[in-house]
Amino acid sequence: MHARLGLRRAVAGSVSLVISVCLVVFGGHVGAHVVQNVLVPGLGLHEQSWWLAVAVFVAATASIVAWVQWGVDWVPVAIVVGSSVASGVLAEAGHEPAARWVASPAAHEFPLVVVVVTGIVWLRNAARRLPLVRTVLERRRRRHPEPLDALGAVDRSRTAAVLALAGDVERATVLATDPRIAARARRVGLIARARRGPDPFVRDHAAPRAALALAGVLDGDAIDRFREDASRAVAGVPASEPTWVRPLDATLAAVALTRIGETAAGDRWATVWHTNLALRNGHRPAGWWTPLGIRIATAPLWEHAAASALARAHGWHHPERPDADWQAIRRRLLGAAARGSAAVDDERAIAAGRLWLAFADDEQAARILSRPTVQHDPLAVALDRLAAHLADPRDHTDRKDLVA
Amino acid sequence: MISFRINCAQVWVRLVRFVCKVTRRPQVTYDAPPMPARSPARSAR
Amino acid sequence: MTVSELHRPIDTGEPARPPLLPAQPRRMGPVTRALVLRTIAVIAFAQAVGVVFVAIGGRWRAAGLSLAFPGGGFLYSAAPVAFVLTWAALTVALVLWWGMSVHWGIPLLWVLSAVGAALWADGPRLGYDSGTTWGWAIPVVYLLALAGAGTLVYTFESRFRAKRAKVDELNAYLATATLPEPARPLREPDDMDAELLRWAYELSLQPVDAFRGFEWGEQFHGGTVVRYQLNYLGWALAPYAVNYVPNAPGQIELALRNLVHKQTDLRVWRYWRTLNLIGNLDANPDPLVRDNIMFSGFTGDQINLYEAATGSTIFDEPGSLTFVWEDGRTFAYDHHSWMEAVRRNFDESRLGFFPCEPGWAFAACNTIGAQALLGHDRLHGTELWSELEPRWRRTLELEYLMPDGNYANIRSTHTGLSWDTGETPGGEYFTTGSHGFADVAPDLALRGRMLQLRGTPEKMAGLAAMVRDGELSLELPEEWERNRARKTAVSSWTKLIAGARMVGQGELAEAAQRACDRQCATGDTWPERPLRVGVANLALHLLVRWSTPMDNATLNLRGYVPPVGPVLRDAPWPQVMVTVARSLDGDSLELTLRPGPEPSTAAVSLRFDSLRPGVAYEVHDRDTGADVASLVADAEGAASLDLVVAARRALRLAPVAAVPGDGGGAR
Repeated sequence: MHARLGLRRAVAGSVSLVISVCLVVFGGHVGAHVVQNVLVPGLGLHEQSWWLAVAVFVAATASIVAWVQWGVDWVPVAIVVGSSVASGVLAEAGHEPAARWVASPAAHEFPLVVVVVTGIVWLRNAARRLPLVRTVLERRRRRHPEPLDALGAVDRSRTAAVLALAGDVERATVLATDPRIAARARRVGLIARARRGPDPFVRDHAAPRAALALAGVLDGDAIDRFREDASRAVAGVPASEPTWVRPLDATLAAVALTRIGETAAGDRWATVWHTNLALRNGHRPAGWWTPLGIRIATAPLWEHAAASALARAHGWHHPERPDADWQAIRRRLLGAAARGSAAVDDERAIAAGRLWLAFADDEQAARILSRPTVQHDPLAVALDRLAAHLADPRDHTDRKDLVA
Repeated sequence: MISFRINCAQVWVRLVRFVCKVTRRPQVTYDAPPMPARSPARSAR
Repeated sequence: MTVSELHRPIDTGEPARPPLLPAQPRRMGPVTRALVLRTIAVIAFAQAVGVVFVAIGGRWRAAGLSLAFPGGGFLYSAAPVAFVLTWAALTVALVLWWGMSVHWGIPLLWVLSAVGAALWADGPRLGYDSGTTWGWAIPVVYLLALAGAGTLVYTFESRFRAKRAKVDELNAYLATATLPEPARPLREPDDMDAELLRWAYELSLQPVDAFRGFEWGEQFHGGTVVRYQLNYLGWALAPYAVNYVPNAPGQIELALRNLVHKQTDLRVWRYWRTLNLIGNLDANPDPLVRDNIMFSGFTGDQINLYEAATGSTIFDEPGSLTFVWEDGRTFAYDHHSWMEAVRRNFDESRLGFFPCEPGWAFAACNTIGAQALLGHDRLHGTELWSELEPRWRRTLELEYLMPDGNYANIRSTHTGLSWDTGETPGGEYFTTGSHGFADVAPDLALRGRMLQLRGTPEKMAGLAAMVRDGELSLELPEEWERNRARKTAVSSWTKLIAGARMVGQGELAEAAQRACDRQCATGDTWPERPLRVGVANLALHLLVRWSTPMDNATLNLRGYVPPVGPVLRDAPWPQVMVTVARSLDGDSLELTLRPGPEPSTAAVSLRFDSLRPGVAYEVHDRDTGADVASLVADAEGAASLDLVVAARRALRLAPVAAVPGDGGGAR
């Protein structure tokens, strides 16, 4: 799989470099405009109209967000290709092109997208901390006084999956079969891949399918499709959205597949977990783009903690460094515990940190992590229940199921 | 002991009240204020 | 001193007669003098530079005049509004210097006024031509400077002389006067005591990370500061533990323990990082390593009293008191390393007392820090206090004592200056700390108490004459609390009750307590308060209310003494609340139970231990004399009893005779 991905990356990089060079060298002024536009969508149109250039840039940025969020990859491609062709067609003959040096980094436009995406994700998270944005989010939260109502479809699936692991199958079933989850999956499938079939979970959607499998709701055909999807997937488990693998969803899917007898899926996921998604500078990626095997951004602390703890529970950790994730995230988890459970991400991090206490013999961390009361966010509460389930010495049967 | 003829404690309270008025926050509450989040307030989705 | 039949006699070291006041008092102690002289030297240097600038002329003159007197250059530059604004800003800077250790505030404004005046020299004027100067401002500025300095010297000198003039008279009083023996009754808690205890328990026994019912506001000063609310509650529950429920430690131990744990909540101590950064230019958030005695000393004392009241050693374990900063950095302490940090700060302080807020050393806080070290020595056999004591006394008597026996509340460790900052009446007191010196300096406690109570026995006698059939028909006026969020009469009542007890007027104290309850009761329960007062002042009221017969000073000296007689080990909270559990004879147990916040109609299980093995016990109702139950202690001296607690039940558990057999049962 690594060789395959490496070859793809090499081919993609080479092809884009060759095309860029050809456009610049042989395409003249038009070629330069096209390359500029591929590098920075909208830039190739700035000589025609600043407004058009800005509109294209904003549209491209929004489409990248949609791509990262929902796997809608054809939209940014369409915008970039369309605006690049338009910039070439609209380029004035004889007009001195903008600095040629702009063309040379064109070969690296994909990594630039990675940088842009990471920047967008960072900006988005930073924006949520701004006073005005915080007020808006707070008002939205108050419109949904029930925390469960405010939970998004994907978090709902994750909550259901974790509850099922914690032994609360009844509640897990109710959550996993929420029609909003299927509605979202249907929307994403339609927009990203033009899927119109009766089953919204035919491909991808790792979290909802994991929740349904763990709750025991999937029928025979659905289970077969789940297995088949996993066997075809680069990561060994279905993606969360088309072409996007996310750590927690993938780990939950691997757990679910293991429970329905597909142990190979767990092994393949474990390989991806400690190679492609390995710890780098104490972080794991927020997403993994499967076509070229590229890591995007860094996973939120809680997701890193939850996914790594579940992986640890199933023996999918690095054989020589079983607690490397714990060492990497320990201090940040203690910081979350100090900040308390008022913020959702902190509350989830605290609960996810408690999962790790079943494996890490760390009295100080146990004392600190056990102090905050986890009671607001449903996913945090579910993770906390799972942590208690792991720690309960009386509950041997379920622990044996969960712990390899 | 010298004297500055200023009751620092009272002026302090008035300053605090002024700041609370300007920032529209109550001077005293009975639930602990939430910690300002260092990490993002919500997850990405 | 025998406090009552409940407690063994304890030697507090109080002498028969107090030490007299120095006949030839100094104006300042040696360290204070050095600091003040340094401050004067710095100002003199600025004045000298100012004179040079004035002589140079032009812009420099404006700058020089501002150095002579802040804003003086603006007056010279015909900008009186800027002059007034400079002084308004300086007033705020003075308050921020005190309030948030903004030491650089006044010097910065002073320098900025010089720079600003210089830059404005040729600038526009309001109502005058550009570049206008008022030559008459030169002598006026210097006169103002002289007047300012003269006023400060005058206030200092006049106060000193007025106090010095009283020395002979006060010493004559100290040499001959006697004080009545304080009243230390063994109280039976009434309904309001039970309501107050329930409130304190509900506040303390909620989850450690929950703070419902506490008052949150700014965390630097005053009644909205949560760490003080936790301190005062801890201080109040400790005497309740030894005076009322020494034989039922379960509920109160957990409450006291939780109050200490809450001190390590980031929301309580994170103010320190801001203060440390502003005042010490140090970004270290560790709240114990430097200064901050208002936290380290106060909470250290709270930890001591917790251990002395309950015998728990949970905070002696390494890392049991760990502070976690928001980035995950940990600062791990325990009782021992905590006290070592306090002691180290004392040793490193030039003045001998170390700061609360950076640059500000308070006599009150350094006395509580001393209490903390003494308590640790008593509990653990260390010498943290005994080695420090001579230097601490020298600082108190040389640097803080005033001729009339008062102690200055505050002193700047940078400039040596001290003034009435408005925190305590007059900025001075005869005794301080939370024990009035009674444990750390019993002789000074006696002197301070005698000076403080001059005329009080007569006043209290007058009030006592108003008591009819145990009732005091009086209402006290309400006054603003320090945070000025509400008015209350409870603080005045607290002082009256404390004063009455101190001069032996026990009956008056009890009547005043009932009058206070009558006037100030709200009928509310947690998270509201049973009395109309804020949390901090309510906790201080509880401290006075429950500090009899043993107070915290005596407890600090005594250390932990295990209870004698039967012990109620388990009583389920929140179904039932134990308000009395004590043994006066070492054999029987007086027990008062009340329904808790979540009472049960079913019987609750009570578990006893430290009974005489194999002995049968009977449980009687103390009010009616009726038999309630019987039980037999097993071979380990344990037994349990199932009891319905639907209302107040005053019981007495007493042995009948020795009979063979195990376990026990209730009728």
